[in-house]
Amino acid sequence: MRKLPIILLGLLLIALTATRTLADSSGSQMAYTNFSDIYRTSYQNYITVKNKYLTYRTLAAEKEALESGRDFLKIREQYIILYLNMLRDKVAEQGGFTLSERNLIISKIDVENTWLASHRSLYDTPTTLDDLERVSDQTQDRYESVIRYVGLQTSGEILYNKAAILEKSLRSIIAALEFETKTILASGTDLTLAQRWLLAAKNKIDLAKDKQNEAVLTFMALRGQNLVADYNKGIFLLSESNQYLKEADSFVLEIIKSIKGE
Amino acid sequence: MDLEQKEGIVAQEKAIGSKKSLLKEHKFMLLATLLIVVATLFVTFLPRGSSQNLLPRRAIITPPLAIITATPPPAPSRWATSSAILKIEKDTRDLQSNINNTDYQDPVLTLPNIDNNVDFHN
Repeated sequence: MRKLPIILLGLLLIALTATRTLADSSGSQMAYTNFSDIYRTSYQNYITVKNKYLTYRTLAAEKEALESGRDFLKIREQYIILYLNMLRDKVAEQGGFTLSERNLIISKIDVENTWLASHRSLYDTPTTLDDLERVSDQTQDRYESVIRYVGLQTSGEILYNKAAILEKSLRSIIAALEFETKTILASGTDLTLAQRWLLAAKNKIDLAKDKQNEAVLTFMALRGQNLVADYNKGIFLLSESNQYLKEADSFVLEIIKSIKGE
Repeated sequence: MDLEQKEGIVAQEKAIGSKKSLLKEHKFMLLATLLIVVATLFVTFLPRGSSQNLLPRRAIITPPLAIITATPPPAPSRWATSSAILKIEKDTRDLQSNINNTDYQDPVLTLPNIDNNVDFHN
């Protein structure tokens, strides 16, 4: 009987985890985007109160700055948590990841979310502005050294996965078409033109895959000051891959036309 | 010479004189006719020839006649109604719209725009 509350708590945790895994990312995305307004308002308030403190340097102004800064930093932390939650839900709902890939990405996000959630409570203790700055610096260091890499790498993985799903779908269509062309060829129909298109489509898909591989390597190697520039480079590579997929898809439509005799 | 001879000579002279005048009249008539014929020919042919040579003639270009012959549409192959081919076509068109609608520039995925340098002394 003593173990019953522990078992119930365990079941509750499992249920919560399952709900999170199956969650639709649109809810968490809306929560994150809506929170940006709260963040902006809080930031404006912090700047106004800070400037007032820097102008008058009174005890009352310092106390006000402390409270406003505390509120702002908690909201900043919450804003980051909501961003990571949205990424987590996107990874959870998106197909294409293997189980181990998904678990790895989600565990990285969870580590950061846990750190932020526990660190958030530390903002209640500082009684001076210097102490508050020290607690803020801890988040800033963590953000600069880990969180932003986890964020952008996860975003890159999500985008890469989107491209990879399209590429795989097109490959399976081409495989089905190849199978059909073999049947048609066996009946003695001339498919020289269609076979040329098929070869060209396959080449385009290979080019698309090369670009995707290049993009994922770029995302995995995100480091240092060029973090955002490198992330954008990865996105550009995925856009190039998309262009090749478009061309390959149009080739497949040409093959179908020639088979149908249109 | 007697009177009769004289009269005969006078009559002969008269006859000769009338013949000469008749010949003159004939010549005049012939000349006039010739002139008329020449003038007629000149009037008839010269202006047409000169206008044809001096003025550029407008070329009359007749447009080529478009002969529209109804070409029968190519006969669809017997694979045009194959369920496997039709399914592949549908899948390809669906995928095409997916590819066209995929946007990799999703701003919501990029890092939140936060102040990461909180300082109360500056």
